[in-house]
Amino acid sequence: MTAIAPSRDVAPGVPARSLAAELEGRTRFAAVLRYATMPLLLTGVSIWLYLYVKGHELDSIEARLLNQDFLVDKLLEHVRLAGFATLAVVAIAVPLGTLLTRPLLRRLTPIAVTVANIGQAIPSLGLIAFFPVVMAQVGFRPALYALVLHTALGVLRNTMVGLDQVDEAVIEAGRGMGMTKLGVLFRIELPLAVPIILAGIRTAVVLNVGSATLGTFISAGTLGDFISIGHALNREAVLITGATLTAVLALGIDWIAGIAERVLRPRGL
Amino acid sequence: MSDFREYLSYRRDHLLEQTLEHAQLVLYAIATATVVSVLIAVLVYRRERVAAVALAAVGALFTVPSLALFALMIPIFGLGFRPAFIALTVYALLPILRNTIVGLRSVDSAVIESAQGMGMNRLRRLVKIELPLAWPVIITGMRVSTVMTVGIAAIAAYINGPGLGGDMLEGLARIGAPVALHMVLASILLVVALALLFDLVYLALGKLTTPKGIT
Amino acid sequence: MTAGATSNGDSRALIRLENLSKRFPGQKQNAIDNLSLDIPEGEIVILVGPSGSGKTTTLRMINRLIEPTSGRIFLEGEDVTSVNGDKLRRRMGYVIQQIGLFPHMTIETNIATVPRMLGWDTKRIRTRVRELLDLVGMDPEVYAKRYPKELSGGQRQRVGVARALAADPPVLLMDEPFSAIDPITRARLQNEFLQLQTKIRKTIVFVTHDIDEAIKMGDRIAILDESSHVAQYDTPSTILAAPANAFVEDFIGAGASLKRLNLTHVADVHLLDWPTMPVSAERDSVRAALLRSDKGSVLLVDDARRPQRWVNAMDLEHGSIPLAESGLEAPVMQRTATLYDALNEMLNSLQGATAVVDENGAFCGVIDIETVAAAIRKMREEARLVYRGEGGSPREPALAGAERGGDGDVRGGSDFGGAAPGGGDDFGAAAAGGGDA
Repeated sequence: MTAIAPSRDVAPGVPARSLAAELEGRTRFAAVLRYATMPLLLTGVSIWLYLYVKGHELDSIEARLLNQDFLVDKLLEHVRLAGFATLAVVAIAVPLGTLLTRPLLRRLTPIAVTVANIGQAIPSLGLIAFFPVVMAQVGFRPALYALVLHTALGVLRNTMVGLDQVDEAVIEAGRGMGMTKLGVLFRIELPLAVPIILAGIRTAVVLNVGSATLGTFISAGTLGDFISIGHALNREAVLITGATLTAVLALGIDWIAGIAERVLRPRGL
Repeated sequence: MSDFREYLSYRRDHLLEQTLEHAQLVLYAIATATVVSVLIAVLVYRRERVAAVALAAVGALFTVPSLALFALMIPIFGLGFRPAFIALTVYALLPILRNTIVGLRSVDSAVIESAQGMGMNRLRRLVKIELPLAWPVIITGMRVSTVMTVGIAAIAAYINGPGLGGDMLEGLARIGAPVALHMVLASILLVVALALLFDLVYLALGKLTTPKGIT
Repeated sequence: MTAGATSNGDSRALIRLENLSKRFPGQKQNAIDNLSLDIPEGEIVILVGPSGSGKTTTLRMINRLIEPTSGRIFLEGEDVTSVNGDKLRRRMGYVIQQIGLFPHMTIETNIATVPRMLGWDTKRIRTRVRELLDLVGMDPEVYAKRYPKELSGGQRQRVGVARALAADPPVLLMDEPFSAIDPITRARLQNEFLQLQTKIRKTIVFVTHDIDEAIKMGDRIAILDESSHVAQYDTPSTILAAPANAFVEDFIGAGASLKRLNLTHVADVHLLDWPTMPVSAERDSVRAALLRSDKGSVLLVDDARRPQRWVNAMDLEHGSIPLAESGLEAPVMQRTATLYDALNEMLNSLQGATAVVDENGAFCGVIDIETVAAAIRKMREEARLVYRGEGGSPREPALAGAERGGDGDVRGGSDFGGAAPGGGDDFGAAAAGGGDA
């Protein structure tokens, strides 16, 4: 969950972004810390959870919830919701962001960035409540819409910022060598924007995994069901299992996304 | 639309109260998170590895889904304001801590050296020189944190915390009734308005409190 | 100057700009106003002028990154005003100040960009990339697979030139290619580039705001006033000797006779022979060589004849110091450097002479301060001739003022303390690398 809003993150004129990057992953130590420690931690937590549930005497309600079948069901629901939401976000926001930075629409870029910034203030719980109420329908679809709207603006914003920060001189050199405008977009601008777009997508994935939990409020299932059922029926073990699993899932996805981000970043940057 | 306006005026006192509660929860969390972050930052910023560890730990907490974190508060702190406040404080840490460390680290070493040369001790340097110079960056971190926390605070309602999230869940419970949409819409708009208001306040505060001479 | 300078007329115009104008939307005045210019084949033409003179806009109109509002552009006799711009640009190399290497591509891929677009096969591209890296003096084995961020500023600049030359275009457009580089590296890159141009003979349009660079690099200079009005278009020597009007005179600025030193390259003057010995030689044989010669010192060179140390009789007395460390370090000058560079080097190193080397760094002679002084003297005389020839001109050339100041220097040539008798007699007439073919 790095900066959703890189340009607003730090005061202007302060070379803070590179410093922050340095602290958070560029140095060897930080990289080791991040990429080696996390799997160990997550494995540890999972084992603890297993032992905790194992050592707990389950009543009939708990036994119906805390078993492999139910868990796999909920996990799949969760991953499906977060996964589809992320795919939809990438499919919508990246092309839209690209379009909004083309010369014809370039004047709209700052407006779009502002709208995206404001839009990010919309609370996820609000969106999760909004779509079912408007659509008079609960379940997967309104949950999907809520997640997409919640995270698309961030990816849109990062796409625009990413394309915007590409060095003019590099574009000029490409055009000067006779590359077509599309050629420059696909071979130069987008590859050079990849790190920032990827950071946006990573944030979106992690947010989606987190917000998918709220799907339980609108009958979209997900691991959130453990939390809400555990809470409603006052079964602490179920609640703790749900909360811990969600946390492990989110951190695990963030870890994988972090590695993907490193691998997919063009070399030479 | 006119229905919605009617709803707003009819429920004005209630909405205002919820908004104020929401703002209060956020402010408490941010104030606490700022104090904690600055303390941690002051302890770690000079040692790069320790700083990296602190940031990684706070970053991991930040990544825990909000509903999960709020839920985990229940077995420890029960329901109500206290667990909501603690969970939000935990979320608010990362942007502030990161910016504080970055801000402190980017203070020009020549400035620090000359302060040292004038006989300022470590504490005095920190209070008189480094923190004021890092302040614009710190306040930006607070701003990012606040805008984000305003949104997450809605979920506090799930553990019977205060704020506008209550109306969202309430609206959800009344799916089908016209008032459901009004409740959800009004609470969303108020959360967004609150976020924007905070944003503006921070902008002004940043301008007012930034030492003259730093741009 | 005389024989060596390119004369007007007989060389073919490879690029012809005809009544070019550009007005940007929302502006009242033309940014470029009715510009006509012939760029002869195989020459370096410099567009120079103050900021706002539209020189970069002009350059960008030649490859149609900016479309002209009116007028025509011809390339190799063909009207290219409205052909496909992307295809046109593949026929012209383009080098800009920031170079603009693609940071996410290796040096090899960067250079291969245009050949790839032109559909060359992989093997041909590979060979070409290697050839080009060699050409700009970078080892392909070392650099082909590196990324731009791993190179120094000077190396990036060389790769930029190599990339522009990739598909062997007849034309090279260069927009302040050396401006962003530190002065010492800049001088070296300029010299290397002139050396390169003797091999590749491209038609080059070169934009700069620096008149000294223009004089050094140009076969011809177009001095541009506001809206790209051509204030004067001529060889550097003529412009210095006879500025066409007050604007040109102002632009050239003071010290015109000193600037003229930029017109003559070290290779064009007579270099002095100097006794040399291998740095590995015996002390006694060095002493013997010194005795045999009429010079006060001997130049020690390594196996590749690269200059190492200057040693004199005194240095040879200190038996305890190894030869390779005695005497003074020997700074060197490229043959393509100008007399201005040479004078600069001598003043900086506080030595009255400097060793000159060829492309491989091997010693080929010595230039001393007296040679430079003689060159100044010679140029002054020639300038005076030009001045008389232009007698009817209403304005007095700037040189007159510079001359008065210069008189003392020249008469007091002995102030330079050079011992060698004047090499001035041998000073060639060839100017600024003008093609005499």
